[in-house]
Amino acid sequence: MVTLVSSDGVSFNVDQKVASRSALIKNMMEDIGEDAGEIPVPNVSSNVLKKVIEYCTYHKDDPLPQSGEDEGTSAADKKKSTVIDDWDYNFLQVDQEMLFEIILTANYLDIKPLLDVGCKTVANMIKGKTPEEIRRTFNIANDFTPEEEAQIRRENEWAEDR
Amino acid sequence: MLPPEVWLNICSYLDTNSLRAVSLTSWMLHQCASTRLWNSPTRPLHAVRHVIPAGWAATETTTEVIDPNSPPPTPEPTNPLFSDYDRRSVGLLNTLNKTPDIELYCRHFVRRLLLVYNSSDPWCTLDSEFGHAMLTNTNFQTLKDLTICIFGNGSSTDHHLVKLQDAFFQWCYREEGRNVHITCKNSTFLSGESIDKSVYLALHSVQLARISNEGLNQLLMNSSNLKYLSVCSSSISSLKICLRHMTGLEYLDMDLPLFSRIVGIPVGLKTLKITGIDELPTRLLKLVENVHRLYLEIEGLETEGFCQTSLETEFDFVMESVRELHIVGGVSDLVVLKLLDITPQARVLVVRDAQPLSDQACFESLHCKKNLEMISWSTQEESVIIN
Repeated sequence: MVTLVSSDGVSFNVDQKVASRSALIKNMMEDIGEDAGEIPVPNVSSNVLKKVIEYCTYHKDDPLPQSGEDEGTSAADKKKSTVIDDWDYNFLQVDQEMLFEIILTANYLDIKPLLDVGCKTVANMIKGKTPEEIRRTFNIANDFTPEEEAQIRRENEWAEDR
Repeated sequence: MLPPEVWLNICSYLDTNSLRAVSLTSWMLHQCASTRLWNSPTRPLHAVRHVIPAGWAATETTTEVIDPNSPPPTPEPTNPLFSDYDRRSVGLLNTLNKTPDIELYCRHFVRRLLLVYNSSDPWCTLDSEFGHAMLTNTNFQTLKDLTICIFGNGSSTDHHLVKLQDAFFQWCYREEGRNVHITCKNSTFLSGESIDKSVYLALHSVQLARISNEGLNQLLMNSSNLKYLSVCSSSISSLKICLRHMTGLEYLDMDLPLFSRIVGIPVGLKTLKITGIDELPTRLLKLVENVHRLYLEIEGLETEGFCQTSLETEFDFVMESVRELHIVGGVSDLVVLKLLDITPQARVLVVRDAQPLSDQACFESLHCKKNLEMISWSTQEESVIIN
């Protein structure tokens, strides 16, 4: 077992196999050895860490992704599938703040499958929306000048209606 | 808000229409979406090889004014920007048979550009061609910050590097007010032999150069209007460096080994930053006339250069012009008080990573320095700010 300590000081006892879903923690445990003891996760609050552990526990027997997978290959230039399996879909039915926190944690802890499924969820939220709707949904400030926006529209004309 | 690398991942799941919508939401998302859009299989001519590294967000306006007193960004080899290099090299394999749309790229949002040239990389030909095409493109008006990083043993006989060099000096010549960072250890990219009269004019317009000291003197001789200079030292060199003629120089950042070899300090210098200090260069500090802001990054505090005897005997001069004193390193309050003695007009004292204040008496003596308007004293554990 390994103990993960969240930013607000809550400890979670986790099976090493579960913790190893995080490449960051896996490397840490390999460096420190069997007596890893408490591992602080300073950027993650307890409610988010709890969710992430729930994901890792459910997926503990999945094959680990290979490092560098789908980077720099021609396949990476193509649009990836946004299909999400049922358990993951239900797992990510959370408010947007929590969704972003989970994604940031997956990014920080290097849990690629969770990062990918989080990104797919955000991508599905974007589909079919106008720029203004996307801004509203994600609280994004429009920092374009009208001239810049017009120029980008011109340069993106080729991509319209495809 | 999610960071750019996550948005890049999100964009990889979007179709062309969604990417187009995302690219119209904000600058940062525009960059992320454009990276995908340009690599879209439906647009093969726009397979841009040189993706702008994440974090180089084009949020600055083109009218950005560079504060002459602010220290320049320093692209050290540990900078995460450079970690992009390997991935980009892999990307070249996919786009070898495609033509990057230089014209679109140059008219687009690019404000900062990182060019990496490695003579031992089989793709250096493409890097050279790409760099040359971009830097000689007169439509490339938005570029304000250029970093050129040269690895390997580039030499004047490497015609790919010479081509990139030629484009660089053409770019320098065209417009003023831009930042250039160059890392070119072991190369002759800026060496004396390769600088001719036209390059001399080009360098007049460069505001900042971070260069190795290969051919440094020749470069500086030709650059009397250079405004910012930040130089990494090479320990093997024993050059004497003359800066006196550089009447335009306002900002100078050098490490101690190089600074020790200076003869003459420009009269227009406003900010002087010396790093890697293990003893205070008193001979040179005595020559400083008009510097307003003095940064001292101190290392090796255990040396004789900082013992009380040497502080008392060596510091028999004052630097009247200094208004701000910035000290970084594990200094004691004794050293700081001595430095304050020789900078009687200092209004601001900023001390970082120092030793804790030794006692209340010292704190009070700092506080009682009548000209000081602000003191910031931080150790690794605590900080004190007094206004």
